[in-house]
Amino acid sequence: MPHGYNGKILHVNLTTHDIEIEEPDLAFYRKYMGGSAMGLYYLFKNMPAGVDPLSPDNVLCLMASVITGVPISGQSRLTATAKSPLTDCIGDSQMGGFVPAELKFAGFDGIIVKGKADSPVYLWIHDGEVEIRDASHLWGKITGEVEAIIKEELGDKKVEVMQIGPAGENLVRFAAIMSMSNRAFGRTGMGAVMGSKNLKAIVVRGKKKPTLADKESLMNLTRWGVKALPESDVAGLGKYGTAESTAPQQKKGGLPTFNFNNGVFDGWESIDGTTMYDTILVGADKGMQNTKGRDTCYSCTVRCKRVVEVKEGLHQVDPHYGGPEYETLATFGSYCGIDNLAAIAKANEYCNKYGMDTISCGATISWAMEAFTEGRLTIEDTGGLELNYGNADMMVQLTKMIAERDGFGDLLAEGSARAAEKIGNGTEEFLIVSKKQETPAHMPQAKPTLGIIYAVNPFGSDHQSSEHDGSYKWYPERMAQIGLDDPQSSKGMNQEKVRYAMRTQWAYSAMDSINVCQFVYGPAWHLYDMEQLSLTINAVTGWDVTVDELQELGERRVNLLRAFNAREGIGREQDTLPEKMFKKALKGGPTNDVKIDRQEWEEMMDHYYRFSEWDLTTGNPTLEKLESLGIGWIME
Amino acid sequence: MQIDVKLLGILRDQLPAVQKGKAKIELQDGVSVADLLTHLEISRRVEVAINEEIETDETHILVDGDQVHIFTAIGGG
Repeated sequence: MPHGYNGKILHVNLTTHDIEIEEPDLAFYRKYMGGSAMGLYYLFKNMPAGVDPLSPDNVLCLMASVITGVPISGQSRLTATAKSPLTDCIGDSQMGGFVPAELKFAGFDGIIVKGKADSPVYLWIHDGEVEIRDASHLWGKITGEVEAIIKEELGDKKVEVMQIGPAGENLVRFAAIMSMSNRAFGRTGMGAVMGSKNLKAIVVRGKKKPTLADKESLMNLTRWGVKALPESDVAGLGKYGTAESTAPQQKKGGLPTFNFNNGVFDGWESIDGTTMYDTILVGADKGMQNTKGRDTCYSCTVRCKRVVEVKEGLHQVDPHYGGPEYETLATFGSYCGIDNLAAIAKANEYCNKYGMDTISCGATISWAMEAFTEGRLTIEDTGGLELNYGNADMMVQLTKMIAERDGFGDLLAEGSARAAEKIGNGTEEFLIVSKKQETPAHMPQAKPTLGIIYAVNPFGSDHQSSEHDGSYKWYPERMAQIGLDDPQSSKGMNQEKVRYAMRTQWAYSAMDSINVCQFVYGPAWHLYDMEQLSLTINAVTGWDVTVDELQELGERRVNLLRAFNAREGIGREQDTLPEKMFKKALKGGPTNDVKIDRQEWEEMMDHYYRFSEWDLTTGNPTLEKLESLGIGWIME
Repeated sequence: MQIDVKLLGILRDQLPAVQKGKAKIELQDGVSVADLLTHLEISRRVEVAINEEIETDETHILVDGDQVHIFTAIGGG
């Protein structure tokens, strides 16, 4: 009997209604541990190259890890992996909440969904049992309604639900899979994959808690985290949410504004985490935000999730749908030149009700705003919408239209890259995407290593796939754990910073395999360091994992992701940054007049491929590299 | 001399809540950034902007009327 994991992977074929339970061996779990590392194993085994991401041939993997569901902060996360309908590359997204732990309690470490149901269905997974149930009555309904109906019909208010909203049904290419109506597998369009399979929801419930190899050691780590939190560098994330980042971004000229034309936003204080805390966080009127306005994930002491409510005015917001993260405040806010916090919270509510990624949605709208402002999109194109920067009411209206594929929203539901291709007229000049995925709210002009990671990341630009620039000098002891012992300035680029980008990418990749929260574990400012992550895994499983083994796991996952893209014919030619970042200098603040030097960037990219031991021309992993990581089999 | 200080994010909790992180602080001439951080009892890892420009040198000497913004040094997400 293994400790920490169930040893069971659920396979569901929605076309045939076949249900199988696979029991992989210990070596499998030790090698992949969970998340998309495990998901990629099944994609290579079950899916040929070249499938249409929205066809029944796509395979959706939802993977927990060997430590998901144990009593320590930051472990209740799940990864969704499939071919992405947004990027046509590998899709990869993580979500927290309670459903990851509950899936383990229900008896499974992961779910693999193939095929397509004839009509809408949902999966009901409980204590090792699996049913495919009719979901016709749920189709078309928003997330909050679906959750309530399912809990009522199953007679259990404690079931946990992963579901798509109407946006997933409508195959919005950046549709999310939602849980609790406020947690999301946001990125890369995994909700559209679920929608294409007529799979409305996956519902889990169970009583089987993971067994622990060394309970005392785990509880010592848990208690240490609770005690260390108040003085740690994540204390602010707990109290003020991820939106605590707004001020540092602004002050360093890295707050994307007016579709990435500026790095500072005059209205930044209106969308800062402290303002949200003082105004719309539930309990703010009675000074009870800490108890009423903060939410959490299973067994987590940080409590970073926001719960907001707006009771009056044009943009009233229901607290059931949570509250905006920093990324959301930036994409619907500074990207669009909007400082109306209630309007941004309303757009966030729509995204959670209808199931959409707030980053791609807000950034797609800001792309349209720039195209409109520059006269490349006309009022005829938009169906009469005045897409001016700062038009908060229009932004909220357009968010709902995208989810419903209504009018001009239908075009934007394709994502900005496809919309630009269709509209033409030079609108591609305003795109802020890598691999067709809209760029998150951290600017490579202010954080140069992100210029490498945004480009090479296999599932498109992503801000949580490596450590950002400042940490190398601020956290030398933790950096040394992952082989980085030559601290560098946060400014500028050089070979050592490329090595920093790559090795912290492996660390984050390991965390995305073990499915831990990147605010709780990590190589820098996080509550627990990488050594403590290895100790956590060992206390749960009884293994003897080292930080070096975690780094190799992370490298293995990055290579699996890249190899998936290589199989799709996608390599270095798609490792790009938005052209605007090279051509147009930012205006205002500390990053005034800054743009990325293309020649230097290309030299640094060469270093990245060399350090990764990939083919310099194609950017793909070599067979020798894959074999060294124990995954040469994927080339067979 | 008088320094205009603004503490951002969780740092504002160093001051009474009603001040929302803002304070005018009287200091002797010749005081450095490090001295100011000590005065404010800030022990966290922070970054400092003086008159909207990032200052990485904690020995930098402040002058009367400086606007000092202090914020946490984190990656965000």
